[in-house]
Amino acid sequence: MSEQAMVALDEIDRDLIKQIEPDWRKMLTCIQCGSCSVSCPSGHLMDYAPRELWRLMRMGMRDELVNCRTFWLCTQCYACTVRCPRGIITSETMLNLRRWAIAEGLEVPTMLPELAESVQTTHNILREDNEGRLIWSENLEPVPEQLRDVRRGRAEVLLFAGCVGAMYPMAYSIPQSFVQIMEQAGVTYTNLGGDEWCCGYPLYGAGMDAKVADLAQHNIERARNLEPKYLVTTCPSCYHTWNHIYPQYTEGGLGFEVLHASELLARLIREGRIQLNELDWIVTYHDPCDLGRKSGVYDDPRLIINSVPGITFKEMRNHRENALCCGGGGDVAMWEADVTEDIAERRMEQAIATGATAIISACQQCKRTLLQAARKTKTRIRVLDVAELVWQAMEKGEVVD
Amino acid sequence: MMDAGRHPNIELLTYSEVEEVSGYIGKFQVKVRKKARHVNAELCTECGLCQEKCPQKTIPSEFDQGMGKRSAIYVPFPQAIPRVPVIDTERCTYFLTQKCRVCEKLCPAGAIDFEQEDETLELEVGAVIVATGFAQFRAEELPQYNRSLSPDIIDGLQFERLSSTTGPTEGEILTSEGVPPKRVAIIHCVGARDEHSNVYCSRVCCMYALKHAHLVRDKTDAEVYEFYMDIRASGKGYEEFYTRVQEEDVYFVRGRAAEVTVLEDGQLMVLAEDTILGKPVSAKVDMVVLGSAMVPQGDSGQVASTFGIGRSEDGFFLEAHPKLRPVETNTDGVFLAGACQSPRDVPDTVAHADAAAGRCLSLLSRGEVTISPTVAVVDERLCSACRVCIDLCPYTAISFISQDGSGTARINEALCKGCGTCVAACPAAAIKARHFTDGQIYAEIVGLLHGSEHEVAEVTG
Repeated sequence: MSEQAMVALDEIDRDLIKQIEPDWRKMLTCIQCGSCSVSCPSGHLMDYAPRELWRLMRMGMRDELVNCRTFWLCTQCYACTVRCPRGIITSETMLNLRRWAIAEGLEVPTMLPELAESVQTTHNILREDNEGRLIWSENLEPVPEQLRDVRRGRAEVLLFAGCVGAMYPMAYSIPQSFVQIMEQAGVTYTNLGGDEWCCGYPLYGAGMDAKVADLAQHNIERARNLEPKYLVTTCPSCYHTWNHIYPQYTEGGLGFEVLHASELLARLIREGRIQLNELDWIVTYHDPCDLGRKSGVYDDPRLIINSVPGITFKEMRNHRENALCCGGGGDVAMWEADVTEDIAERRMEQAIATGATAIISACQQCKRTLLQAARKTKTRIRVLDVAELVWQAMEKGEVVD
Repeated sequence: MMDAGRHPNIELLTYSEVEEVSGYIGKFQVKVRKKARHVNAELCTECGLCQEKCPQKTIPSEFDQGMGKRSAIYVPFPQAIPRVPVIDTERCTYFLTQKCRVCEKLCPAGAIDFEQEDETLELEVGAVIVATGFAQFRAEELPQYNRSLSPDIIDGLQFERLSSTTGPTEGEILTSEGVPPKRVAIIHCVGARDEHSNVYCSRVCCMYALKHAHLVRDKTDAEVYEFYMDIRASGKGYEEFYTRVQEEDVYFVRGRAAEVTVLEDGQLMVLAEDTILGKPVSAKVDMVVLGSAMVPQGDSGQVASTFGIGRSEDGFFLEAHPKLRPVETNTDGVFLAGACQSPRDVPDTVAHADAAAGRCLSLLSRGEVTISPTVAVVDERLCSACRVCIDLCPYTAISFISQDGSGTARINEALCKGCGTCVAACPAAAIKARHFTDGQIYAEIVGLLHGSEHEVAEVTG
């Protein structure tokens, strides 16, 4: 072998890994076992699979990393992280690579600056007027008064609907279902309206976590002012952000409990405050990554589903800790829509194999992604959020999709 | 076992539990509960008729790892010494319904005794060897292997029973459907070298996994895929055995198996990255053997406190020194043998056990012990009887001696390790560590600092 073809170990860039990964000593323990690469839903589409990325970092191969698009394909699904035998938080290393690429001024996805600007100026990911945050509630009959009754100490539940739930028409019915359930169950609730800002997770996931602080401080302050008992999110990403990222921006705790809607609904069902009618459906459940692997909420959504009389519940081949991502995380849908589609279609195949007529999830982004995959593959399957399922069972009506 | 059972100087107490240990090296008092077998061992001729005729025969056998069946009156495994059976009172029809007594009617020796009760024995012994063994890691704890979803995802011990001529299939390697597998995957490091379960290398699994591969190749026509991160074949003849298994046409895949999936048709699929190829690989197989790690016994915490021994971070019993005193513990006279101290295979266990026996014998044959002079001593005139030292002593070496209404702490020199905890804690300054009195230590410090810039201005104590 010619000398040029060799990697001269005495000449490698030893600082690269330290520049990228603050916890670089932990990263040095990587045993190159490949668990991450094969667990990764987008691994086979990457130019360097995750295991190879860690090796490039270790071996100081800057050029390869500079030209690499792999880490922009990570959906932040945590599948690699829960299986890494060395306990390396590999999902976080993917974000560290994004942070490094931004800091180095490397070519980044074209949507990235737009996303940052949109969230920072309009306070939502859609570049819409943030005053329109309650648009989803407008075609409810009647429009719930409680939503507009924003007073300190007035409501038990502060609904944090999130950008997707509040502003994507495809997801409107999730917060709609939620507030109707609250009305029926006699739970008082409210919402921050235009004062609800993007939680910041899309920026965090894009490697722009420095821009999250303002959003966090604003949301924490406004939510605290209302003195709710619970802050309830219908979005698992907002939930993850409130629970795992916001605590660093506040001292002495938030002053209220953060719940995902499925946790609250499961409580209400256990307390007998929700009456569910029979639904003669065969359903499966898709675990959202931000709710399952990142927060350990696996049982409550299943309890809800199994509480609906007449329902037949079937697990997909990959479920709970082993669930396959829908493809909608890590902002990948914004810059590599075909990667998201590829993953979503594989998830759809698993759902179809169960014989289910409906996929239940607990995330508006999973719902969007899976619904798009169903349409694209011309699959006749319903895709619903648990809140929608509960409302369906309470109303016993037909689903509008 | 047979030799030990027959030896005139060895008394075997099987189906028994040590409940209490007190005393010290050369003079331990041990309380042993001999559990009721409900079979009189003196009368039993070990003929086996009771097991054969017991109508309750469908109990999953613990020794066969749930794959075989046993009766309610049973000998736990074929090589057990003695072969006196025991009645499983939770499963026996008589104990459950007061009816049956078939074994009693048929026993030619009249050995069945439903009224038998536990017995407690008090023994006085000079030394103790703890050889309580290991447990196997429960692979159910790792969700990615979906162990509970298929009877064909088995662990190493289950495979051992399958391939044993005394096992449930009489040594034939068969899937749960009773047919030989066409393809078998063997997975290394299950519950080992893994931050989510046990970080240590369990040491024996590489070799037993290689042996399993060999047995599958030898006994069936199945292909074998072996998923490993590193093959650790460091023992005499071990690397040679690895080479032989390679020559037997086993597919070695250098990558940790990330997932075992049960497909819709019940077939199993293993996913991994072949890190040498740099490609994801999948294997559809009929049987998965999980090379599960050795872990400490579930009650090792309790056993450790009964015998006054420590445990290392991994939960195994702690030796007195990893290199120089590998069979001793921090309690003099208590020794360790085998996998209760660390995962080890048969040759290493035999060597370790030999060492423990040797240490034990040299201790007992001398008839006396030499102890370190560095022990603590109570000046009984100064002791205020506050008893603070008694609770603090990590070696339970201090007892309280009552004397006409008052009393004093007294240190057992055979148990004391001279750690100094009591010396520092005693509010009356009544305890001194011999050869390490305050005065001696200060004198050393003064000597050390003499002439340096940190000259000691004043010394008290």
